[in-house]
Amino acid sequence: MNPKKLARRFLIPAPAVSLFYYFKFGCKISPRAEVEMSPYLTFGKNTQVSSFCKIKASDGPVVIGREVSIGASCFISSDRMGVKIGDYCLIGPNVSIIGNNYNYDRLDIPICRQGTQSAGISIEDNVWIGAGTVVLDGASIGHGAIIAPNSVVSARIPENTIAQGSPAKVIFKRR
Amino acid sequence: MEHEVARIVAEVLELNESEIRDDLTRRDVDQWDSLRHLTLIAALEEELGLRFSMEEIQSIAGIGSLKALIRRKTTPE
Repeated sequence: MNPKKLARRFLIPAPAVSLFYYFKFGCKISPRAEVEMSPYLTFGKNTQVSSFCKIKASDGPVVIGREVSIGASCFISSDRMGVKIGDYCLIGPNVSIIGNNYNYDRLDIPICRQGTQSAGISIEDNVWIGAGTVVLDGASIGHGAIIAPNSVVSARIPENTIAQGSPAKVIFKRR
Repeated sequence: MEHEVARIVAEVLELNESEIRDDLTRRDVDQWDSLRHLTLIAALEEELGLRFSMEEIQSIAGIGSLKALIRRKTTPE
């Protein structure tokens, strides 16, 4: 890990990070959340990040829109292709948004040494993600979609639909 | 039509067709939660060729009101 990243992660106290993002973007981050100080990370105005969340943006952009509410204990990490969350999204507690995958093409090398790949995650505006849901790399969720709790989203969820399950499938179209 | 509705409800709510009575409400069936309700509506719409509005979906409190609503929608005015 390079010294700059190390300093950002370990030497800056969490309340200072919360204040920094409040003055920079007008967003409210709990001092109990672990949000990386990263030039790749941007928030919209009035976005809230609850306690015990972890947001990692050291390898790719994380762009979070305005008036987004992120519940307690969420985990968001990005890789090269980034994670984009639109405006007015509601993200329930314990949601994981993971923007990369390990390569596993070779059997003779441990998976952890085969490197990662990233296709990116896109969550459009006004999406509501239920508690405990996992959003995997390559997923995209259309605007106005609702994801039921404990689902696993790995592909495209069309706009204004309600999806549920592992993998999440559309069960209803909003009207 | 009534038999068809009972069959679909029984299938979606994982009940026996004999348990589908008109006085059965959403409160009586543990698994009839908001998500199962939407799954039921989607199944009814597909199999009966109907289309419910959001208000109609919210007004369904049990089998009685569901059947009454379907009757209203399938009876020509």
